[in-house]
This record gives sequence, structure tokens and C-alpha cells, in this order.
Amino acid sequence: MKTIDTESRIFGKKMPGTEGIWTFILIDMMVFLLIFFVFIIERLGNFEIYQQSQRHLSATWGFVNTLILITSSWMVVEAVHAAKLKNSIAASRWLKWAFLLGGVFVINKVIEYYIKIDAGYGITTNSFFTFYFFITAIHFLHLLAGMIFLWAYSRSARDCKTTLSYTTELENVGLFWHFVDALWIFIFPILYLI
Amino acid sequence: MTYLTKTPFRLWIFLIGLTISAWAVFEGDAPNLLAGTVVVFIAAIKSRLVILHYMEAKNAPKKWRTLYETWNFTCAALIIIGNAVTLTSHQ
Repeated sequence: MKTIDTESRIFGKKMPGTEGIWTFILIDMMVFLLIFFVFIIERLGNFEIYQQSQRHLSATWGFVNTLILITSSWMVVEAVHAAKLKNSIAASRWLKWAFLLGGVFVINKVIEYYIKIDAGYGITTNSFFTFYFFITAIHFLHLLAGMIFLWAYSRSARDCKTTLSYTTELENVGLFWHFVDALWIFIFPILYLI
Repeated sequence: MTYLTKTPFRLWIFLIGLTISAWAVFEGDAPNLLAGTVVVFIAAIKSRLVILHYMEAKNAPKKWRTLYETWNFTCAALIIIGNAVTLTSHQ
């Protein structure tokens, strides 16, 4: 797969999306910050349980999913750029690839959940697993929502609807997708590594 | 740094490199205070790069850039300090 433009291309120079999506993401960020705070406090009081429980997670799943989301984020940047250049076919193609990578994340997560549940670990096993399932499930729902938009806007681009309003809406979708990526960047070390 | 963040593709390569570095720190050393701090610090750098360049907060009005960067900094500080307090109080 080739990048749309030359290597010397630089990022855009204006704020992408609408004020509304920036506000929405900020509110979502605050919710997750609060969840992280409660997790850290609970971990302080129950460190042995958290340490033992964390050993039952496979960090490899989290590592692979981090690579997947970072890669899909880059693809969405390329899609937005293609849409700005009115290159509908390229925009649609990049969005489709990003969607497919989201699908790989979904498959990984479902397998990971299955392994945990099959081994007898559930949301009520202990405080650590409550946070593990709760945080990853909320993130998973964000990812699924993002994927629906990626698919929808990929189809719109394919139908050559790369108008100015389409591009702004796609920037909003991109901002949300990058937020899902940034969230996972913190969720991975909190749950799997530290 | 400017060279690495000049294009989305270069930044992607850099982010992948940072992710592998964090993985190497984790794999090479059992979770401890130093390894945990380094891993979260790398996560904060990655998240900041995504916010500034992929989300283009660097081009956003100062208000938005400050708010998003503050979130990133607060997340990292919370996890690093929380982890340090937890590990030192359970030694």
C-alpha cells in the first residue's frame, strides 16, 4: 500500500472537525480520567490482589492491539487527507483498511475475553477483574461506534460524496478514532504492564 | 523530532518504534518502579504525539490544545505517581 502523497507532505494547517466533537471528546476524556483515578486508588489498597490478577492477563494481546490501533489511526489521517484532495477512491480505501484493522482488534478482544471467562475469570471475580472488564468493555464500545462511522464514511466516499461537509464530518470521525487510540495507549500499561 | 513528525507515515513509524521500546522495557524487566515509570512515560509521549499531530491539536485554538495536553499530562502523572506510591508502600 502506498501513501497518497509524497514523503514531503506535511500535516494540515487548520483545526480539524467541529467545536462539538472537541467538546464531546473532552467530556469522554474526563470520564476515563476519573475511572483511571479510582483504579489507581483501589490498586493502592489491594495491591497483592491486583498483582496476582494481572499475571493472568496476556500482555501480548494488549501489545498487538496497540500496534493495530496506531496503524489504523495513521490510515484515518491518510483518508482525511485524501478526502481533502477530493480523492474519493483513496479516501474510501484508507477508511476500509482502518475498518478492517478495527475488526482485527475486535477479534483479538473477543478471543481474549473468551479465554479469561473460560478460565473462570469474570467481572465479579475481584476488584481488578471488575476494572479489567469494565474499562476494556467501555473502550470496546467506543471502538465499535468508531468502526460503524468508518464503514459508513467509506461507503459515502466510494459514492464520490467527498464534499466540504463530508470532509468536516470525516474529520470528526477521525478525531474520535484517534481518541480511541490515545485511550488505549494509556489503558494498555495500566491494566497489563505496571 | 520535527523530522519524525513531519508526515503521518513517519510519525506512524516513530509510534510503532516507541511501542516496541516500551514492550522491550516490559519484557526485559519484571514490573518494577523504574520499568513501570518508563513504560507510562513512553505511553504519555505516544498519546501526546497522537493528540498534537494526528488530531492536529497543534493547529487548534490554544484553549483546546491546553485542555487536551493537560488531560494527557494528568493521566501520565496520576499513573506514575500512583504506581510509585503503591510500590513503595508495599515493599
